[in-house]
Amino acid sequence: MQSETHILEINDLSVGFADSDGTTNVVNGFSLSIDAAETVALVGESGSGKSVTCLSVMGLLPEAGRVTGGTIRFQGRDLEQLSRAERRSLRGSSISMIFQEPMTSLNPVFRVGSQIAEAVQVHSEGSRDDARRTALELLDLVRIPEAKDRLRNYPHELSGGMRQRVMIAMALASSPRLLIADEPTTALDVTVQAQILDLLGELQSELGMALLFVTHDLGVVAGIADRICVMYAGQGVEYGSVLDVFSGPLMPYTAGLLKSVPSLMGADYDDRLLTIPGQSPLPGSVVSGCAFGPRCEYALDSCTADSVPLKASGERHVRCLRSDELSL
Amino acid sequence: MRSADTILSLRDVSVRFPAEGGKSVKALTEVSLDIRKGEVFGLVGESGSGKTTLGKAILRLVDTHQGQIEFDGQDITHLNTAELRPLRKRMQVIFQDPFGSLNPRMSVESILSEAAGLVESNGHLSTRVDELLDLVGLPVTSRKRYPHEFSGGQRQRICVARALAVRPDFIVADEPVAALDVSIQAQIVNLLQDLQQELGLTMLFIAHDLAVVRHISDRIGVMYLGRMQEVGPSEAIVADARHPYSKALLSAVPVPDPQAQTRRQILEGELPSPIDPPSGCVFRTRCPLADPACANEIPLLKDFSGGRHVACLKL
Repeated sequence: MQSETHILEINDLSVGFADSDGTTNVVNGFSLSIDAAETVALVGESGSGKSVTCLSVMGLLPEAGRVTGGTIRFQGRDLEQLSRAERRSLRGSSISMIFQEPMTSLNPVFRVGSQIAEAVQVHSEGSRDDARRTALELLDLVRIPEAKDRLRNYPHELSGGMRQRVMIAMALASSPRLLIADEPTTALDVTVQAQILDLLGELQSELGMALLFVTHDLGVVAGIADRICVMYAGQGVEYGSVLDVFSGPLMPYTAGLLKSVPSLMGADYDDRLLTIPGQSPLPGSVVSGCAFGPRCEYALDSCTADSVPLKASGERHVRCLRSDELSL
Repeated sequence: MRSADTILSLRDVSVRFPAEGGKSVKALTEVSLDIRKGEVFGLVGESGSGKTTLGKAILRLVDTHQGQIEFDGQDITHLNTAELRPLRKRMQVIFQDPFGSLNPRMSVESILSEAAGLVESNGHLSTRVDELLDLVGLPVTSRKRYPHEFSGGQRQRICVARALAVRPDFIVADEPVAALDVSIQAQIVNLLQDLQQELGLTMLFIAHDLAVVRHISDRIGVMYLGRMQEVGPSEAIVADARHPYSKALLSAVPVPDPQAQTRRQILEGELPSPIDPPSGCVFRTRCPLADPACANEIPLLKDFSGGRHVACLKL
């Protein structure tokens, strides 16, 4: 997974949270690299560590959280070695992030125009008027109709979809090379989601930025991403192109996820949904061997003996001892 | 539409909420609907479409402004609290957030006995709690535990058990799996489906996820801005929706197959305000088929072949 073209390279990352019993690791040796202008989907269920991974890249871990191992390199620079000031100047300029709930990310008492202008001014030398002009251009960029009038609106006067567009506009204020989108459409209605996904896809290719798209929705992944990384219990368990992984998952967990989604168009609607028995391990709980082992119908004794390494199979990577012999 | 086995019947039901300046939010407007005994009726639509209000109106948790609601032959539209009490045992509800709807200071045992105590004798309660836990696939050893000791999926199972404790005939499930992870969603959908068949329940299943609704429902109703736009058998709605809004809604659902990506039909514009909805057809401001006539006439649900009803002037 080493290459010159990688804009982001996460290597063997571990992140822990301090609590009364010491430190609980929620990310355990996670690796992922993203090329310039590529869209990678990070998929996993609640507690799998996907949001914490993103916050580590941003340098926005909450007080109790700490990177306990591994490296995060952005454009070749080791982010953990940077000073707070260097980190801050990178954040929002070269790397930006948007979140699930746009309402809680916007300040309710300021007009959206001044909030966008503020984001612009943090990273540029220009005057307040320049920033206002840029804010207007950004609203046009994210296809907000009657942008000039919208600048004077307060967040509560906008719909959920419009607010998410405003958040995207702010994130794009300084032409980032990497945009991290953490469940950006989860709180939106499906028709609005379709609008935002189209917009993100268009902006990604227009601006040539890399996009790390975090989601639990496999339908969304199929539509937007080039590559997929499936996370389970703080580890990457399957990596590959979206086409390869959807047509032939190598890891039983990925296969289970794909099968448990009810289909809108498929014919087998009368059948029961296939389920993955049990539930994800709690962060910090000790599972010997494969973390998915206790829920896996294919698990052997050897699966629970030692930790399972990530192994390469062509362009793909999988964390499963039996991936060669299983046909999922 | 009305037949002998109809358990729930709505006639032109409207619900209004007061808004600023003496105006009102038209949350639900002239909805008519019949649900048969043992049927699962799925209700889809986006935020603000009125699907949750419809569920609450049926349960008499909000007042009906106009129209009539009949449950098992009895007009329940204006029953008072005392008159409603026997009905409450027959109609139950499961909400989206299983944590918010369980009292954190009550053990599973007390949550379930409290509900079951309304219909069971005291001597029978303890056995009934075990029965209920077993019914929803929780170990009987969990009866002494508290809601925070369970995962989201298990908590939703407790809510299902509590709803079933009074042996209801009719259940409103309002987004029962929306807050759960994908792999847990499937477990709860299967559980609801099994229980519905085993106990012969009638269910109003409200959700924004069309694939889940299609999977569990016999018929589906599509709502937009407080009005029912299309009703029909699940398969017919999914395979061949007629109403332009149903079509747009289906087209927006992401397909979990990278090779089956088609150009989505993107719905332009924003949802109009329910305080001042468009005249005529409420969908006309975003409809690709709309012409000036749509502003003048309110489309009523018309019969189409195969048990479907569509409210559109252009069909």
